[in-house]
Amino acid sequence: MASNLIRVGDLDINQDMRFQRRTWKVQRIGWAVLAMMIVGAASGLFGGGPLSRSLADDPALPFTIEYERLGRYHSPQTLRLHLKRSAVAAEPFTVWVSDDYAARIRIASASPDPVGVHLDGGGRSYRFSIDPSADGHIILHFEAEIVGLLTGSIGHDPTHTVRIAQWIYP
Amino acid sequence: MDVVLRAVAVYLFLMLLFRIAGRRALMQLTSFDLILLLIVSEATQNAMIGDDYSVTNAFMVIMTLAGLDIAFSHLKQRSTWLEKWLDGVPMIIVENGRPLKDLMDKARVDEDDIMMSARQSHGLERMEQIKYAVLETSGGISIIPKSS
Repeated sequence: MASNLIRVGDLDINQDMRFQRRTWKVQRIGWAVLAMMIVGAASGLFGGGPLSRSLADDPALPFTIEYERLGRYHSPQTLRLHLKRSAVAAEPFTVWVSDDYAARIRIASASPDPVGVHLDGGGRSYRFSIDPSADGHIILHFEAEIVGLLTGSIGHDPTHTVRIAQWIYP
Repeated sequence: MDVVLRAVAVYLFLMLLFRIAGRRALMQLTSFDLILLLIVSEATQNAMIGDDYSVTNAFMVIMTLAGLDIAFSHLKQRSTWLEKWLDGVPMIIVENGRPLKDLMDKARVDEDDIMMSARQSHGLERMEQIKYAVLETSGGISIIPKSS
């Protein structure tokens, strides 16, 4: 270690009051940043809160998508499709998810369970059995499998979709 | 690759956080602080190992942490500037029996802390018996008694 000792009174010590005062200033700034991060975290800045919640809608779609625009890697997330009752006409009800999104998430469960899944047009179609008179929603529980920007399209079929984007923290 | 990056991120984050928290944060270790430390270690453990519970993964985490520690100790030895920023500098808080209140307040040390160290290390009874008290980079307080 490079010796930095100075004589203060009778003591040989590497005291540096200028540096110490600068450290205290940096620490105070650090405390303020820490406080803001805690408030931000509680508000959903890192996912799971009001700041994070987002809605995607398109008049042509039979549902509104509620999702978290901020999420965390391998952390449970929920995507809710709020069904527009008037639009739920035919059985089975289809939800199409583009491959760029579907391939980067791991779906843990869906409620209700899809009655079938098949690949088509650069995406996956999940078919659900839904009573047209029911007022409800489809819930997907999933985890993001990438870090960074996660984007994709969700719709009723490949021609009617809405784009969603999520930022996934490490 | 992933596990090494996780360990590096956790190491750097904890180093930054505890530097911001200040050196007295860990030296005034109450039983609650100890519980807090255990919770911190539990939280960081999951972030470092993820869902891979293999022995190899644990070895990689431990090797990365030990490697970083060795690397930083070498860097600190070569750079006084880095050593100061990472470890801080010692500071005299009592001079010839006179507590330097302004510095003590900023360092969150009070006279009770100093007298506790004085009693424990030298069996001193009064502040006037202390020639110097130094708040060390470790967070401990060194006492140099006046020669009788």
